[in-house]
Amino acid sequence: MTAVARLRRWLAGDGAFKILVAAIFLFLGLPVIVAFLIAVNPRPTIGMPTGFSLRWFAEVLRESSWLAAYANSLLTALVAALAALVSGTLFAYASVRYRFRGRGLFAAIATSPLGMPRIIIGVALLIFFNPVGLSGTFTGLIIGFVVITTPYIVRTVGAVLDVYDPAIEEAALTLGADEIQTFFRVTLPMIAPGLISAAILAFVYAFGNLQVAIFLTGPETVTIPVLMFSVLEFEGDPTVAAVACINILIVTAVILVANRLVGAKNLLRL
Amino acid sequence: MSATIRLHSLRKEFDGVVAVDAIELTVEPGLLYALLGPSGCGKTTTLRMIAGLETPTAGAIWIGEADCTHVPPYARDLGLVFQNYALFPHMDVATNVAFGLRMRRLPEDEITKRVAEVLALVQLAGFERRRPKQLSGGQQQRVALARALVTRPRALLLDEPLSNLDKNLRDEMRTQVRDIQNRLGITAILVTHDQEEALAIADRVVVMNKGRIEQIGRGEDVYRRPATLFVARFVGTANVFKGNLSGDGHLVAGTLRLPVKAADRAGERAALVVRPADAALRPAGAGALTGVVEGHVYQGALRRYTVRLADGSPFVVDVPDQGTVPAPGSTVAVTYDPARCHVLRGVAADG
Amino acid sequence: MAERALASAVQGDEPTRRVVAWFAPRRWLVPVLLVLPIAAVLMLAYVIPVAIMAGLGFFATDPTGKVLPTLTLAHFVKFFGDSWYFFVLVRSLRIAFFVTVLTVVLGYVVAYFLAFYRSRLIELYLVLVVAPILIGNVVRAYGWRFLMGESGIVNGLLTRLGVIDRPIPFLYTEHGIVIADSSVLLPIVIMILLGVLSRIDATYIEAAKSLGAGRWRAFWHVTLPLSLPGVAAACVVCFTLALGTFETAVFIGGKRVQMIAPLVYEQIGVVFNWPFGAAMSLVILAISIGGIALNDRLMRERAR
Repeated sequence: MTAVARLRRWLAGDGAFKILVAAIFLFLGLPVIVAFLIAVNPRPTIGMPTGFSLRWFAEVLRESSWLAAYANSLLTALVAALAALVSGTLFAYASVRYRFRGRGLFAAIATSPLGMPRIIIGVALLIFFNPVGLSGTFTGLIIGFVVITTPYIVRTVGAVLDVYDPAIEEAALTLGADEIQTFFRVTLPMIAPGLISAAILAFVYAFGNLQVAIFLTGPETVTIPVLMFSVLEFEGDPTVAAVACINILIVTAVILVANRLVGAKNLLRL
Repeated sequence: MSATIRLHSLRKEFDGVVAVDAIELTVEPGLLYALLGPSGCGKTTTLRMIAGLETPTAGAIWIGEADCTHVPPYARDLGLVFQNYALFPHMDVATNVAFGLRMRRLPEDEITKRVAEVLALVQLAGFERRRPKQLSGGQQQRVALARALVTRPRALLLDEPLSNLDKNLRDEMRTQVRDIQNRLGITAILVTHDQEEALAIADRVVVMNKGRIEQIGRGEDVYRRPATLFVARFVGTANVFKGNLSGDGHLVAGTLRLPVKAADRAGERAALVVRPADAALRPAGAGALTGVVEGHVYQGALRRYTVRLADGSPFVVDVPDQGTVPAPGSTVAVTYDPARCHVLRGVAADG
Repeated sequence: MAERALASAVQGDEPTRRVVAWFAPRRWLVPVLLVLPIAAVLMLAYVIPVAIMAGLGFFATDPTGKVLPTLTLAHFVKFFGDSWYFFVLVRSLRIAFFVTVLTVVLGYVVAYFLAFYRSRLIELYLVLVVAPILIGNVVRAYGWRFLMGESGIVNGLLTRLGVIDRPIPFLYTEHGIVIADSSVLLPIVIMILLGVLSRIDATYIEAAKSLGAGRWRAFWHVTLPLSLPGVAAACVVCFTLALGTFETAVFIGGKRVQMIAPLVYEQIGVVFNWPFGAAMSLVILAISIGGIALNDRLMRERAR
């Protein structure tokens, strides 16, 4: 069969479909690629990249406002992810292993931030925190992040717990471990990969969040997305692209580390 | 070391549904008891209550000399083998087996010694470092057994441990389990729905139905002298005929006059249980019962014939696979030795 | 004697035993305590604030923007009555609709591929789908801005290739927003649909094939109908997210194509007219909840 005939055969079969899929993937990833290209472009304008340069990255690292924003973002996202992890895991565990009234209702409330237009949470929290003096503070910001990351934690940990046979914990009980010992020696180690991936997901989500942060940050607590947003609203500074690039690298690194620790399959129980 | 287990008026309700209805049972130390019954009869619930994983709605559980009804499972000193083995997936075999010993804070060298000992007992010596997912079903089962036994518990509880294995492996494993139980002399309670298994390895069979105990006895007693029609039908196959005793050695069941070994009590309601293996096919006219051969099922060592009697009721007869084979549609006589066939009297006859 | 030592080891000495024993007569307390942290956070930082926000929309403001203790529907009247605000709402709904259609169609294609085409690279593909979510909407909206400008990459490429004479306007247009937003929401929709499609029992499809259905008909008569409830759920999620689209709206739409979420931000964060902003938020929230409830009702009807 000639090459052309083979190509035609492939196209008529799965080929056309696969090309379509590839095109959609490209559509997905395009803006990310672009941000990368802009960041390494030595020319300070919007347009096709002319070369390769790291000058914008250097500028970012020199600007104290960016560095402060990085520190804020990392700190708040980390604390929020851990807080959401602990409270969400306890809830998921109680949900799966115990029967109590309101279990379904709580679960619905806990996962509802996912189904809500994200701006609502920011607005509501600002209105509520302002009179109590929490707006513009780290605490307020962290609490806001906990609210939006909790659904991911609850869903991920709940899914992981569902997979495991409750008989495993019963076995531990019959072997002499009480409920607390069973939880720490058997349950937690078993779901650890799920917990790690949930925490990473929560961290990354909080890190990149704009719609809640924009209402809850003050001059002292500015986060990276908020800073990018305010800079970009007025200028087309490629420094921002460099920041975007750094974010991409951070997230990629996190994904790789997580993959090494727990495997990609575990990571993707979204 | 091996304890007596006593159940007094043990009752369990789930949301108003009675799963176990006031059962009484004494499990003698060192013996293997089989809780046998169909799904939903309450046997697993009973076992779980003994283990402490379910709290009884009413009644008491005595293990040894103490009332353990409200003692938590981790303080009962029992070993439990689960149907799906429930091995800890994140630990290797040795750590799995050693878990109970670690909970009891035994010194490390003692733990290593005992783990090696018990693994040798279940013929898994050298498997210490393997992970559960690397093991076959039978091997996982043996690890589960080892894990339950290593702490030298007062009794061993097994919840349908063999039902996930294929037939040949099951037969092999049940012999192994029985051997180990015998050797250790440990009290054991085995839950199963497989009556062949129960008859094969248990010292006592406890037949349960709808939350109640229908009969407790040796396998042979349960088979030969079932206390209720449910037991007669559940344990092995049974030809059951219900009617009234004639007083002269027959049971009148509709139009049939069946020879029985009971010669007294005319008029009493009774039921005759004839096991297929205790019946035989003869040329027509040679016996009191006549019927037409409907067909047979070939089972290797024997053929199981269904004969339609004059009044329409079926009669199952097991015929060894030798000699001539009665053709379907032919008329035959069915005979049996009344002395070997059990008669249920009175209320039991209406099961 | 060995028995006694065993009993004490199993029973008394562990510190955890004392805690567990304390809880034994109060078993109901355990789930309560486990749920307490999350309940506290959700109540105090979610349910109550949203309720307050919903209520704030009913409070009047004086001309300086100060909140007055009188209840009024003035903000809602203003929102629906003023042609500008109403126009923005309708536009946002319209854009959200088109985004949903585009995203769900494209997402279904990819999800189908991921669910039914066995590949060694499946993990890589999944990472490629999920990574953009993790990278953040600001970065992605920013990337689209560069792509879409008059001298942006897309136009530059198309002009170079001679496909067009003049640059196609994407920036500051509704269709530009639809395209960019679709790209942003695709990963989430793909993951939802992937979950749905991978749960369809492959044996149904095999049964259809054994009965003579070709690939297309098996899809049309078996896979598609079975996946519809999931598709509906994905549509609801996508619509809700698209309605609240912010970063894309700001970067691609700017002031020329105003959308509702940036408008809310402006009222709350710039003009400080909180009751009005809250009223607008309540409307958006009501629409979203309405969409979810509608989907629920439709699903239950289908199930019958």
